[in-house]
Amino acid sequence: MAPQGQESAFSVPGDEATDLKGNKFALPVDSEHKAKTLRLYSFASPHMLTFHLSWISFMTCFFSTFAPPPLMPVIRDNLDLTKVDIANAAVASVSGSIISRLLMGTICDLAGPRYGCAILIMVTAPAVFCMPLVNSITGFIMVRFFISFALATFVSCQFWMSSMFNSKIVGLANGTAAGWGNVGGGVTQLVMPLVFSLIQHQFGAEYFTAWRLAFFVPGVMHVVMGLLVLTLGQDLPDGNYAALKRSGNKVPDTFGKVLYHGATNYRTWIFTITYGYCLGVELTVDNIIAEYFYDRFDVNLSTAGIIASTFGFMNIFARPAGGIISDLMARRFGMRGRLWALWIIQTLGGVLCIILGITHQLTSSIVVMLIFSVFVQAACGATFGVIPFISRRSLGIISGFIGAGGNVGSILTQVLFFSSSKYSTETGIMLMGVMTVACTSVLFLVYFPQWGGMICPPRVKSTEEDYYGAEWNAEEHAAGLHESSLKFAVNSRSFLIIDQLGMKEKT
Amino acid sequence: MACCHKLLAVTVLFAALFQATEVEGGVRFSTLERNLVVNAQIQSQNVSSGVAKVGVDSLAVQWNLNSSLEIEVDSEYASVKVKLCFAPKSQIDRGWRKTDDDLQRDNTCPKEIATKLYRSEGNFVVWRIPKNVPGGEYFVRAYVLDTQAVELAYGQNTDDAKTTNLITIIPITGRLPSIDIAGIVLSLFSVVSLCSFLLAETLLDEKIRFQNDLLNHIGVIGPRALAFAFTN
Repeated sequence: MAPQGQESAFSVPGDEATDLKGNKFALPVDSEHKAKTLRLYSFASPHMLTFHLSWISFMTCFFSTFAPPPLMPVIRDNLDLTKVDIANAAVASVSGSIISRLLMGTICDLAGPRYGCAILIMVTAPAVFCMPLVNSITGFIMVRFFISFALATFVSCQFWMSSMFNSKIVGLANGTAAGWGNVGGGVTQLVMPLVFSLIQHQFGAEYFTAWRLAFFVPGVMHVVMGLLVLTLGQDLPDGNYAALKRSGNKVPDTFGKVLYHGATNYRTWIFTITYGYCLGVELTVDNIIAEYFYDRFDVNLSTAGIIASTFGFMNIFARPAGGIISDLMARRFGMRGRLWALWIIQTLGGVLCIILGITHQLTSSIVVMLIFSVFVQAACGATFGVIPFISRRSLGIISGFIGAGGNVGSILTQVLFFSSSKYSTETGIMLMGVMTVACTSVLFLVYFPQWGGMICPPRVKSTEEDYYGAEWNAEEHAAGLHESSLKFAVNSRSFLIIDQLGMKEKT
Repeated sequence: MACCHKLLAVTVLFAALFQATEVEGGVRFSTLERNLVVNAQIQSQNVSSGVAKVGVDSLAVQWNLNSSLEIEVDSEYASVKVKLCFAPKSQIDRGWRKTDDDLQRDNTCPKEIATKLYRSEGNFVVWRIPKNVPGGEYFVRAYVLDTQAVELAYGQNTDDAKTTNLITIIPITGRLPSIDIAGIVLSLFSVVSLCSFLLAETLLDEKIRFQNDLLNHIGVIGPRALAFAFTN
């Protein structure tokens, strides 16, 4: 393999490419050795194995974070909780991951997504094992808070997908991995009550003991997935960070520089706001929707649980669909297409949320909720079709900021609209929709010089290399530290260039 | 195949929903007359405590028809259902225990103590409090039902405001020492195996770096050593 810096950015990629050890890749790859296709049925190392490890570990974390809500009728009697207690615990369950998502971005940039994911999932396993030991509301809030740190595996998941899959399909890869991970929120609503029932009736445990035992299921899942990620996972297509650093193929970077370039890019903050009103809305709904149907429409708790789980299950196809739509729009319209697709999908999600709040009838409410869930989750997928392009150098920390923004949006929404008796739940849902539409409109401010924005066309003569190269200063350029960014710039190039002759396709 | 599964799931979901949307109005509590006299006492080994522990203590409940009423009032009375009900103090801020006048939607009385055939007097039951009763303040209410299981009258051991003669029940925690130990052991396993793994990989990395450095070093002096060896 050519030493770093001497490899031409236009070298012939693909089928004959090999990793550091000389093994041929199972999938067709580009010049950065990122896969150009996504084969969901395959477990081939490194790309597809990483894909499956990544989404399953993220799903495990979603599973354990939202494991208490379906068992809440038992827990609230055991711990003698009031409505305010439950709401406080729900806010705690999305707060911890703000901190961890910010940290995870940096850890991925510096130590690699494999370590980031494995360390987080195995360090939060003790928090899950503490749930069976909880005796009071204080303990319950603290445990939910610490378990929620695990949701930062989202950042490592997205970072890992962006490192393994080519920009043509990064939207699809990110959307599918994240969507299938988010399904954990739906799976847990079905599985935890089943496990509880099994333990109570088949094993004869006491009512107030059975729910505690049920929490060993997510705990053990954490440990198993952590070990699998450590043993089978790989940071980059060419190998792990440590091996690549040794051979000089991975440029070590400093936290300060990575943070600076991430924080000073205004697009980071715009997407933090918009993601707060797509993932934020999804997390809020995960926490409140079962109770909403139970209270407003008088369905029993099992039925409310089934309805609640369908919201989460839409993620199986809704979030990947958002990624696919983003990729399809990019093929035809480049980055501008991605931005418009995101704005349209998320605004429609907000409108449907408003409609959900003003729907008075049970069946219509369920139908509206299902359509609403598709749009909200597709918006999350479409957001991560854009994020890999905001920065190459600071991808991890930007993913962390934006992911944390999702949680901040959820906390803000829950505190503003769902924690007091000022608004009924249906009014709260309607107001959440209004806020979604308002906050999504900041997307009009996003502008990439080389690709344009929603309203403005690209600047003439501005290139991808300029944009990504600008993250490195003159000394770093001279030392050749920006080479990986240049490779990325080439691979990110839009597929259409507009010249005086009109649109023509460029491969 | 996936299509069939999805279709089945959707069908089951809609079937469940349509069942749930059938709402029948029940009897209104405000229409019932308080014709029974109910008494309840805690039977406990620790007599003076005034509270009942689940799984250990029992409630002794007696009920009879109010003797000052006209005789014909109980002509349709078929059975009596005795229930344990939340006092207002245990309902505050807990909407799932809300009192509703429509008895179909009322959540005041979660636990059934006994169901017996109706007799105007001489009714007595001792009920060991099961371990799944949550802690709180309770009272005992008995509903009189007709042959169609429709409520006709009631009685309770407290006043109408539900403030007197309340029973305090102490719950179990649900925790067991074995659960505590298992949780601690598995947590330690998780942290220790993670640290071992990281340590092993760091040591391996250092070993490989050391070997690489050594080989590079030998690579420099190797040819000169050979040249030296050949000339000597």
